[in-house]
Amino acid sequence: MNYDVIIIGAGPAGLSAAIYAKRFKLNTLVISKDIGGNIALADLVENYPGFKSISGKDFANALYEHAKYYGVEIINDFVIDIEKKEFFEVKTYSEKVFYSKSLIIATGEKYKKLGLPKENELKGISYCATCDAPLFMNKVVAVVGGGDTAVLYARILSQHANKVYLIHRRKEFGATPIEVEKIRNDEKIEILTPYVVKELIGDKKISGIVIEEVDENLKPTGKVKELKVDGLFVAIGLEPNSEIAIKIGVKVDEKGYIIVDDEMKTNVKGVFAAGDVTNKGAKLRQVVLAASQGAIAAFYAFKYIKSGVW
Amino acid sequence: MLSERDKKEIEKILSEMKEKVTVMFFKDKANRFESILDELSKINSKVVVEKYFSSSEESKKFGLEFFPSVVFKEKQNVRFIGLPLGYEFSVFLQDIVSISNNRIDLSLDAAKKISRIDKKVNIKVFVTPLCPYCPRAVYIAHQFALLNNNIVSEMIESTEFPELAEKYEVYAVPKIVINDKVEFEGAVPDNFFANKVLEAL
Repeated sequence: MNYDVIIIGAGPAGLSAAIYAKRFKLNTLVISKDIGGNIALADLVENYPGFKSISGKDFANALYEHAKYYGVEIINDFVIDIEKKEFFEVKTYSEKVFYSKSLIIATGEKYKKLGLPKENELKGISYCATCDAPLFMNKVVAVVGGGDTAVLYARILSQHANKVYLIHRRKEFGATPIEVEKIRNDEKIEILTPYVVKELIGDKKISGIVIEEVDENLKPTGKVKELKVDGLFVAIGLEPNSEIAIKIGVKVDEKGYIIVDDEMKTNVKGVFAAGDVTNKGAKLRQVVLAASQGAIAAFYAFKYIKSGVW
Repeated sequence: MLSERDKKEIEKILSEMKEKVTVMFFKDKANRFESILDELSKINSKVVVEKYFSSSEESKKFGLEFFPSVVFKEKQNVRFIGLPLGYEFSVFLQDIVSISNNRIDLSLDAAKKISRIDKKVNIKVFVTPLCPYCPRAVYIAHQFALLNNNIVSEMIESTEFPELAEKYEVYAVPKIVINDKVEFEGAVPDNFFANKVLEAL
């Protein structure tokens, strides 16, 4: 079976691309590990035109139903490898190989990790406070980060835990000032700035962290503290899921975002990218942008398939 | 308990039902979920609700230890320990429709592996009510149980049963524990989940 286009990722960019591709009569397949991508995790979407307010999950479901309505084939699987031969060969975890003339990479972003030893092994390290905060009832936890997400996590956790340390490498928070004020007035939250997490302590489960003070250039001052914690919540931003694209020679910027032109083309013939995984509109990570990029990618994929000209 | 908008949405989902489905609700005391169940059977008469106290014969028959719990009479291996509210409510509704229509929603790879299992399997899926990743894991575990009667799949609401969450060292959800032997965290494609079940045999 040969597809005209395989879309990897089923968030707003991927599913928007799928809807357009299908309406252009392209033989289309979507492969994704989840449905809806990160928007499915959003509490409310309040700025997508046509929807005054909709939960992220309902929005994701609406996207999925819309794509299904046009008969888009969607497979729930991990893409583990892509090879570029005469066609693109897309291999999945379930040992399937799919062939396609073109690809649209719409793999989005994931939570950035601290990059410390044992981070992947230790239990009690979380990237989702809405999910896991209730599991730390009356415990001691730490949050790392200084943006809106970190501040929100601290507030959610203070409703469950006995004590919340909020660790940020700058003296000032990047989060919305009114939200920062709320956490400064919260007696359960102890703010520790400017500090970075230096070491994770624990055997199987996290039991503590070592933090180190830094100066304005983020250089360590040598002043360290050890904190006993039952849980650690990491909210230091997002990074692109571009590993699979890099493997087939797609160029990325210094932060790993896929470099695309105005037609959502990458440097590799036949490979497009759309949504949060790209370097386009990097400052404005919004559903409406992801959806529009998906549409553009599908349109130029259609032109490429019909003409064969890149 | 349910808004008019909720009722409309639920009516739409349940309209796909063919056969009746009996929801057995086990409680140790009066519970807010009862009125929601009553409303469901008003919305669609194919949803039959039976209520039992924890001390009842039925409760002993099913070997239930934690309350409130939900068991489907037609598929007794599909269970909720704690209330299927929050994000899990949608899975509860989908389960009803799946049982009613005798419908399985799994990839061919996963279905092949799961249907062949001839040993007893217990799958626990620990969740919290506001975890957006959790319903998918519960849904797949319940689909496995629907496909194969050797499998008992239980959603466990961690905040209602902190002693269970503690016992199974739940620090992130969804956490899946199979036969108290194999465990993993996170929502994964059904074929990955099926391989984990095979690993636990």
